[in-house]
Amino acid sequence: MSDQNNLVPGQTQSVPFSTVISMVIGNVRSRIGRSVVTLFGVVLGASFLMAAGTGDILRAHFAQEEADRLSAATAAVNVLSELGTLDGRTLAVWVAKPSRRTPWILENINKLGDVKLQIYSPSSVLSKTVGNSAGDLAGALAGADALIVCNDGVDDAAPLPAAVDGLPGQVVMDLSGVFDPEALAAQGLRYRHLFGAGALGELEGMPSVKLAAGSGRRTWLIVISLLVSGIGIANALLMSVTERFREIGTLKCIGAQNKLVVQMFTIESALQGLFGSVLGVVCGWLIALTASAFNIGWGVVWSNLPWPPVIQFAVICLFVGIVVAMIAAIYPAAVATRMVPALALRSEI
Amino acid sequence: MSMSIDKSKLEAIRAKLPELRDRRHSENSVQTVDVTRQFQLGENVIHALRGVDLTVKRGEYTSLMGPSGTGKTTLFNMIGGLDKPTAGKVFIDGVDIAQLDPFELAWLRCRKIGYIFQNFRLIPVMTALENVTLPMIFAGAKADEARDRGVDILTKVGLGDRLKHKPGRMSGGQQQRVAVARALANSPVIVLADEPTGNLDTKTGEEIIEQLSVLCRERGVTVIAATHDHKMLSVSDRVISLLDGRIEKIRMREDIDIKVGSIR
Repeated sequence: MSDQNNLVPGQTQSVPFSTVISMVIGNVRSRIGRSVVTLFGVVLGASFLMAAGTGDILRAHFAQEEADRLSAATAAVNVLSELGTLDGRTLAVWVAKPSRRTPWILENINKLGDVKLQIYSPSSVLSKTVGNSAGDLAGALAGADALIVCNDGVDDAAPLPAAVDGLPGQVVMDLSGVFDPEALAAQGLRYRHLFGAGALGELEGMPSVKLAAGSGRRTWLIVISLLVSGIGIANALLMSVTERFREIGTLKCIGAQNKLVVQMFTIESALQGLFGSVLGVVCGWLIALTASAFNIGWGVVWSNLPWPPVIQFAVICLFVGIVVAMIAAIYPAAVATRMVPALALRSEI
Repeated sequence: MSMSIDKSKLEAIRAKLPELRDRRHSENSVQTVDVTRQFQLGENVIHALRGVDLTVKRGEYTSLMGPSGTGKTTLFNMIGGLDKPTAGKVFIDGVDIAQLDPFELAWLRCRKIGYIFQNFRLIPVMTALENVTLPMIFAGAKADEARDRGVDILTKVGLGDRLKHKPGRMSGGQQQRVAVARALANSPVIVLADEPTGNLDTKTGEEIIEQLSVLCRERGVTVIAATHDHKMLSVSDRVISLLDGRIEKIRMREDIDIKVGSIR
């Protein structure tokens, strides 16, 4: 006989991954109906998880936005009350670092009177929409009645530039709370800290309090739905083992190692988990989007979607879906492994 | 001792050649010792095998006969390492297969034994060529090498033009020839055939029997075939009749009644 019969057991006989994949795809194709049904189990679980998670993200996001818009309106009203009237006034605006709230503040100031805004900012968007752009702070301050400092998000207290000394009326309205009031007083400036971090913090705290309620019960619902998906996959794979006992037995007869059988089931399951999760993530995201659009309106939702946390959560969903599917494959694979190859020879059943 | 070969010694070796060829036959390929197999079926215990002692020599063509439910397939499973006996021992090439771990058993099935089943048992989602190359890939062959050998074997069994066909698109005879090709994939020393002609028409069945017989004679492969088919008996070296889980009688080819052999 040929040389290969003289090889000793123990030599590796692992089947190339591509062969395993093509076998799995063939199996899935030949039982496409049940594969699709199983897939929908995963889709339901994953979309539930995705809808719940991104729904939270969207709610928190838009609650924050609402709070920010409210605070922006409050800030503008405070500027008005400080100056008495805004009609005919020229205001210098220094925006070292614009935040989401900054344009809203300036838009609101514009609405409250016939005011001229001279903006010094690295962000060209601001000057295009709400006022004239100035090349430097001195340019912005030329002819201005007051300076509004909108340094939202700048953490470090910055010294006011010397140009402020020449400001007529000497009003500095700080909307960020990063200046030292005593230092400004020493400069002889009238300083009004109109809007501080403390007030914002209160507003920000509100939505998260709302979200916390009921999240425990929902977590349980999600866990149960994932369990149900997992059990669905396990059940489908067990049926597959029963149906394919002959095929598995034949594979064993012609020398398949248990490893291959385990691989086949795990990969089939993981593929179902992957495709089901992808579909589920898309469905869940659409559901969450539609739900928040009903609450807030399509225009607002579309204009300002919080993509990074949503994508992050989608990746988590995919991972959870695949892991649940692979865990579900453990028991069916074990059953297939324990199966005696002699079953393949039975002509009945 | 002289290094040069003595002419008379050479003659003596030549004279002994037939006997030397026979020595191949004297080696035991398969041996079962008092093999018993019981199945628990609810409250009842089914005695499928009640102590079978069987020795099959290398290169021998052995047929297993007997009525249905007499333990042919069970014995077949024991010899093929597909099932474990309740008591007794099975030796393949002198190795007690009860001592093998699952990995070694899989190796044995892969390299040493080729299986042919009544219902072909091809993998339905794979082409003829893929079915034949699968055992080679299990044995660690490279894809190219496996493909070349697979094409070669399939051509030999007359299916060179059906390489890409899936089992569902082939006739029973063609499927069984693919199964024969698959059994030969790793050049096994033993071919086990369970009713290989059971689902085939007479002519196709004869072709399969012919192929098995040629395999046995030309390549020295041990063939053990369970069969009802009397045509298979005419090519057998020995016919073993089983009855109720025991060996009823063993007949050599020369003892087989030709009249019985002609019954279809």
